Amino acid sequence: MQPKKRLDVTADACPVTLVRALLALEELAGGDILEVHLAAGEAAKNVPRSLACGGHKILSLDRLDEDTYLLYVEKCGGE
Amino acid sequence: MLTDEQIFRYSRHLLLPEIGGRGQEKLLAAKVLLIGAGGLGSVAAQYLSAAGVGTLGIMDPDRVDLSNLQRQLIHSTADVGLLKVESAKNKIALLNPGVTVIPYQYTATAGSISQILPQYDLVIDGCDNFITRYLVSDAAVLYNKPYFYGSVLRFDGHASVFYPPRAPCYRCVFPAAPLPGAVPTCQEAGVFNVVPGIIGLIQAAEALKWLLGAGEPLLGRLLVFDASAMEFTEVRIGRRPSCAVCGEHPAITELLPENYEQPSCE
Ligand SMILES: [Zn+2]
Repeated sequence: MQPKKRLDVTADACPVTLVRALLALEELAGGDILEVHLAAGEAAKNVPRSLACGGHKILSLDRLDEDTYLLYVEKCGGE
Repeated sequence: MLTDEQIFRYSRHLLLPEIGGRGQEKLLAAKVLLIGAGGLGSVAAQYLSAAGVGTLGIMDPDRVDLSNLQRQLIHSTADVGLLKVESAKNKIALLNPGVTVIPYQYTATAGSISQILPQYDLVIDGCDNFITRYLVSDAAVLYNKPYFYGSVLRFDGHASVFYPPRAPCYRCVFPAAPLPGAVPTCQEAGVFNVVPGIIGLIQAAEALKWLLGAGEPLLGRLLVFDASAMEFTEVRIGRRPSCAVCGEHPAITELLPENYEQPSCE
């Protein structure tokens, strides 16, 4: 899984976490992969769900450490 | 690229797929001309500013009067006596310092409109006299700018987007002004204060949608609002081939000052 772009929103709160992820996805082409570092808790729960609701594909969501999750999301409109 | 401040300020718009970062950039780059900083203009100016429309031109020759404050909510009691364009500019600076306001403290004339309108993407009419309205509408046709129409009287309001050839122009629907005295002005007739608020918001909504390319514009439809019954009615309107400005053989092909002579906008 080769991300086109990496984003760290661990310092942000909702909904700016999601806004930054959406803005990053806007810059990518359909099918491109975005890597997002999310704070454990609300952001890790809500951001993947909202991105999936928006039609993007959640490839994986893994706990990196105590405080951080690592999300891989594929921009919709790939194939 | 949006700044952090902009990401926070506009976050609720950035979350909408119809707007997002690209849409916000369009709004930031947009230039909107508002004719009148009265009841309609007050509301439109505040919502366009809050949404981050980059440049707002506001044209109004008048000063804030105590009798304006019942419906022109961009102005405050302390602003009585100030030029409306200055008062509006001050208020917008407090609301969103990212917006550039260009005040034009004079009446719309053939000369001033033909200088100013070409610099803008669209025009919102917040004026309430017929001469200015025909002038702005004719100018919009001649310079190919979409014209966001609104008018209010007592408990009633109108709104539409005029843009030939996709839709009629104002003259297609209202070919000539009523005779002086046939229709009372706002000063004589009174206006229920929420009506300009609602109509001004519809104008702002249509202008924002237009700039974003989102949704279905209010083209070819005249929205008629009756606050008394709390009813919206939609009247289908079409182009008139004999229209004096956008018809097949237009009589109006340039803005001649003698065709638009009148006292100022209320
Ligand atoms: Zn016409």
